[in-house]
Amino acid sequence: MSLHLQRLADGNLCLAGVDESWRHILSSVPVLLAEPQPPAVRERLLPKPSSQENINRDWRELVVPGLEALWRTNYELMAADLGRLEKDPAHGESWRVVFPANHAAAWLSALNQARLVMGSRWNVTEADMNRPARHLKPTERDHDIFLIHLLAYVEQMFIDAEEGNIQ
Amino acid sequence: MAKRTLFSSRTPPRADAAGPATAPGVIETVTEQTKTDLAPPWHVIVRNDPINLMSYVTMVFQKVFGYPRQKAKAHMMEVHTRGQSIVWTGGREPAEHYVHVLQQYHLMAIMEKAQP
Repeated sequence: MSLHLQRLADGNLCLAGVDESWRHILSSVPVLLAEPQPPAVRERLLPKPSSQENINRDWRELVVPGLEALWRTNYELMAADLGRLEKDPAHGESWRVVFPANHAAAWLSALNQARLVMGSRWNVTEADMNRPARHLKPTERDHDIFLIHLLAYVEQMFIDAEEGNIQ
Repeated sequence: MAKRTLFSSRTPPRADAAGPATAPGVIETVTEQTKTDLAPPWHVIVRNDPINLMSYVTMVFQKVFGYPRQKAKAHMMEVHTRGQSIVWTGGREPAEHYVHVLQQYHLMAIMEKAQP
């Protein structure tokens, strides 16, 4: 059974078809986001909002802590949900997790942020993203580019959920 | 000390969620009329990055500005093809709010004083 996100009759969401590989990949997201990030990543996640230094100074002081706290809350919520992965009674070889629909935004945030973190760590370009998977090399950089694509697949499921396009 | 107007609790008015339909390929930029008419308006600009999904950026524009899907998609395409798009223009306080919210969604959002 392939990975899929579905809305249950009670309104909760269920991510099912989580095999060992997906379990490992998804679990790595909150771990990655909890790590201290290098300057290039911080600059991407927290770009200066203006060319005016007074605005940037206030922003650093007043806004950045709130953004970081919000993102931390999001990936911690995803981690907590993943901590409740259980063997799928209908498909013994895979896991599933059920969580409230209002957790979808937190998952979406964490998945997107993890992709951005890997992308800015390796200075990934549009050309890199357009490279066919068969042209990826066995390097750490290309491994992370592959992960960016894999997580995009999951992210799209959560975009669909946010837009009410899943059943 | 400069007045701190960043991210007041005031919720800015949503940009024209029910506005007139836009012709394909034409991006309308909403300019708000506020009591600070004499102050120069500010542009909220979103810049391109290679990682954010096109569907994600479109969804964010719909959520944040209440834009219809077609208009949100047109702004997303402008970001993608031209490197950036002015997604909103108006007073400084709401511009700060929008930049804040767009950055919560990890978009590369900045604000710039509009040229007279």
